[in-house]
Formats: sequence, structure tokens, C-alpha cells
Amino acid sequence: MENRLKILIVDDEESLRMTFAIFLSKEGYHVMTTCTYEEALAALERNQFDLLFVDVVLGGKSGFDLLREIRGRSMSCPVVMITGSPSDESAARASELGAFDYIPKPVLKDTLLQVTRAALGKK
Amino acid sequence: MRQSSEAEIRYRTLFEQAPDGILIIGTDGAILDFNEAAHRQLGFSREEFAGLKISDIDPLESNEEIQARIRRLLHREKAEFEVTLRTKEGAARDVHVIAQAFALSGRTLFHTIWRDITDRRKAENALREALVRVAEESARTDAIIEAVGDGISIQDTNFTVLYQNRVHKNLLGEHTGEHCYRAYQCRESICEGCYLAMSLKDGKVHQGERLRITVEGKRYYDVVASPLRDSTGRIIAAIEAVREITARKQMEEELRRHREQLEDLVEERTKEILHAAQLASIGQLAAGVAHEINNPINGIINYAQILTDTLPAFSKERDIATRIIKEGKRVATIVHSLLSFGRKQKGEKIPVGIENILFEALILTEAQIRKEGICLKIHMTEGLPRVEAHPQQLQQVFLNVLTNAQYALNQRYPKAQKDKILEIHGEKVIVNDDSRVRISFLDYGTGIPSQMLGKVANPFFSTKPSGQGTGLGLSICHEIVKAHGGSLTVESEEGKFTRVMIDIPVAKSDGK
Repeated sequence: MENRLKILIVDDEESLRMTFAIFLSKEGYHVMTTCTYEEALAALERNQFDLLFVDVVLGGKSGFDLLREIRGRSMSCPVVMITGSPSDESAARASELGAFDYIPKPVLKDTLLQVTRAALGKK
Repeated sequence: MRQSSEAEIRYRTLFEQAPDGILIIGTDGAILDFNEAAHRQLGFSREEFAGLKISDIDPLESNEEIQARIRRLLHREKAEFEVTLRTKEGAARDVHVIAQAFALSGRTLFHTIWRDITDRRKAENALREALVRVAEESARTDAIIEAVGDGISIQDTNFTVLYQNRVHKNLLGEHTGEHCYRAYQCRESICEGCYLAMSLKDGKVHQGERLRITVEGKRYYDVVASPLRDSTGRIIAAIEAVREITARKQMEEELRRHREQLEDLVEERTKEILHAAQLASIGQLAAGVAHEINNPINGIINYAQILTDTLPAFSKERDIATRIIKEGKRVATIVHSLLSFGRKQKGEKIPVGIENILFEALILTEAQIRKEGICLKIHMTEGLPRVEAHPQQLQQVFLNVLTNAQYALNQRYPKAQKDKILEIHGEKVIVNDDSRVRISFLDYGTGIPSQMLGKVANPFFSTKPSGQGTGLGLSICHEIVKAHGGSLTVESEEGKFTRVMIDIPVAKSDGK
């Protein structure tokens, strides 16, 4: 349990949280999911994560706020931003804030696993 | 004595009854005798006349002049001259005088006989003045005819040219004596709608335009015809005033053409603007709803993926789950395509070799093209100039056009065969004085029905069966090419071929 890699999914869409968790768990990762910015912060306080998937749009505060917060706390784990409305501007912003990747939805199983491997491999 | 008396009576009778005035005058100018006509013509009574001297009835001549005349008469037998006499009332009478000196009882006398020519003089003067007036009038008319600047000709009732002024000769050549229809229009009978014929017929002025075909091309004239009458009012000829208006006509024609071009341009631009606005609003709408669609579609695909992962292989349920994924991806593709309408390209265009972009697109598709048995023929002009472009966007255009060509070829020829040909040409062309690089894709596939050809660039319009195309590919290509200052044109014949030509302006750094 302790040597499994920990992944946090932050998305207000239940379907995303559920399906991502199933795909990643099957690969042997320890997956946690949260719905909001606040929940995510709380989870980050209690856990050490190896990888985060963060939706850009989180009712209220945005995924970018969370990314900034993480970087502010000198946490170095890779963060992959996902979004339902991709744009050049938000992609550039993700890159500026040091996101590992920026993936437009729909994020399919193969993509999810590939990016996960790449992000964790880098770490 | 009796003889002399008879002679005297005869003379006296002749003297008195002569219609001309007769005077007998002395060398001092005294009037010694006068006849009835003299007395009547000058209005003096016989008593008054008896006391007069020649200077009294010839006041315009001085005494010296009269004396000089008398002296000259003394040396000659006879003189004829004209003088102006004065009547008792002071009226002037012009007279023609024949005077002769003769001797009577040792005295020299003058016999003068005059004829009143006042009326003849008046008539002569009137005639002279009239002639002067006619000459002046004629000169003025000539001057007016020349000054008008119009060609003027007169034709008689048989359409024979009687007169042409200088301008008319310069305009139409010298044709006096010829029939106008033959001279000017090379016809054997009068022209339809001849204005001159109308004037000859109804005596009114007629005006209009005439066209004349010459070796130098079409020439247009403005013609005014008016009748010419004799003193009895009978129409004997007609005058034709001709002004060449070819230049004006050409300008009008030019103006009309320009106006039409402008209207076409405005219409075209309006269409483009409306089209751009339509696409932009589609893009905005897509950006607005993309999030709302992508999230649930992500869920649907992933749920179906979980089913696929867990259901037994080759089961009907697993097949359905796979189909759900496929359809979900289709929805995602449409949303992705729609987003590109609203997106503005960031960054500067860079000068690139368009053939390199094409070859990169071909590398991506070559394997598939070979697999489908399509015969690919590429003809590239050596050393094509570079274009300024966003390479990725142009690659997207080429990929899209290639995909369409492959589709059309596969529809027509499901299997490999020699006519399953796709030709790609690259060349430099000049369009409206602009140097462009043209890449054309010619496929001998199914072609596009002519009634659909005008719509292929419309968003959501697809020639493919429902479910096989989004109808967005070519409209996005169109937008991309337009953003590069180029053009994308499609030519096609159903059942034969489709040719897509993409023109991109040559980079400024590569010169024109």
C-alpha cells in the first residue's frame, strides 16, 4: 500500500472522477478524487501525491488557482491540467505555471495511462 | 415761212409731249425754255420755272461746277451725265441727262433732256443692299455651320448627298452625289429607322443615335434630322447634323462595366463578411458549449470503455460498448472542429517552402494511400518561391484535401486499379498581377454534382453520406487559406474528377 504511487484527481464531474479512478486503480495506482478546490487543498494537506490531474474549471476557484497554490507550497509533483474548453490562452497559462501537460477532454483511457506513465517516469 | 412754222409746230409738239424733261439753257445757266414734263416732274409752275436758273434745280453742284460743265459742253457736241435735281418741295430726283450745245441766232444755247431714274436708282440700291445682305447672311451661315462642330449634310428626297460641311467630310469622308445609305452604311436601300427619312416624310425634327460598323470598330453618332423646304413650303431635302459620340459611348460602357464589377465585388465581399460572421458565431457558440459537451462525452466514452474492458470478447454487448465509444469520439471531433472557427491564429507567419509542408502531409497519409491502391502522381516545379504561412495550418489543409480525394477515389474504385489516380501539381502562377504558389489536387474519383459545387465550403455541408463527414473540413480549409491571403477553388465534374486548387501568395522576401 505504501509503495503504491498516489494520484489525485480533481474534477467537479463525477463521471470523470469515477472512470479515471477505475482506469488508474486497475493499473495499480492509489487513486483519490476530490470535487472542489477546497477539498483538493485538504487532501494535499494530509497526503503526499505523486501526480495530480486537475480540471481547469472547478466551480468557484479554477484549476489554475490550485496549480499556483501547489507551486506556492513548493510541492514538486507533476500536475496535468485537463479541460473541456481548450484554448491557446489557457494552454499557455498552464505552461507558465509549470503544468506537466495540458490535455483537452475527452481524455480517453489510453491517453490517460500514457500521460500518467510519462509524468511518473519523469519523476 | 410756212415750212418753218410747220417744223416749229412739230418740234413744239414733240417738245411738249416728250415724257422726259427738256430744258433750253443759256450759257449763264438761265433756264430759257422747259417742257411740260420738266414742269410736272419738278413741281414748279410755268411762271416760277421761267425765272429759274440751273443752279436752282441742281443745288448739289456749286456754281463753279455748273460753269465748268457748261464750258466742257461748249467744246464737245454732246455729254451724258447723271445729277440729282431738286423739286419745288425739296425732294431729290435722280436724272440721267443728255446735254448738247447748239447755236441759235448767233447765241450758244444748251439743249438738255433728262430722264427721271429715281425709281430705277432706288431699285438698284435696294438690290445692291439685298445682295450685300445675302452675302453677309451666307458668310454668317457658313461660319455658324463650321462653328457648331457637328457634321452637317443635306440629302435630297432620293437620299442623294447634296452637301457636306468640312466636319462631316472629316467624319464620314467625301460622298457628295452618292446615296447616303450606300456611302455611310454600305447598303442597297435606306436604313431601318432612318431619321432623315422620317423628317422627309412628316416634316418634323427627329433625333437619335446611329451605330456604324467600320474597320476600326463600332462608331456611334448622335443624329438630328430636320426638313428643308422651298418657298412654297414643299419639302425638297433634309438636313442631317451628325456628332460622333463613340468616346462617350465607350466611357458609358466602361462606366457600366466598372459599376457591375463593383457591384459584384460588393456582393462577393458581403457574402464573405456574412460567411465570416457566420463562422465566427459558430466558433463562439462552440467555445461556449464545448465544455458542456466535452465533459459528458468524456464520461460516456469512458463508461463505455469500462464496459468494453469487462465484457467478454466477441459478445454483442461489448460490440455495442465499442460503438458507443466510436460515436462519442465522433461528437468530440465535431466540437473540436467547430472550435477552430472562433480561434485566432497566434504568432507571425514564417516564410516556408510549401512543398515541404505538402511532403510532410504526404508522409502522414502515404501508407494509407498505398494501401488503398491509389496511384499518386506528383509534379512539382523546381525552385518554387517560398510562401508566408503557419505551416501547421497549411498541413491541416493539405491533409483534409487529401482525405477528401482518397474518399472520392475509394467510392468510385473500391479496389486498386490503374484509373484510381491522384495527381498533385505544384507551380508558380500569376493571379491579378500577384505571384502565387498553386498546389492543385486532381482526383479521378466520384466528382461533385454541379448543384452542390457552390456549397462545398459551407459549414455542415457534406457530399458524404450522413455520418461519414462533419461538413466542416473544407470550410475550415477555406478559412485557413483565406487567412493566408490565398484562395481555395474547387472544380469538379460528377463521375469524372475533382480538382482543388490552393493558391498562396509568394513571400515578400522571395520577391514577386
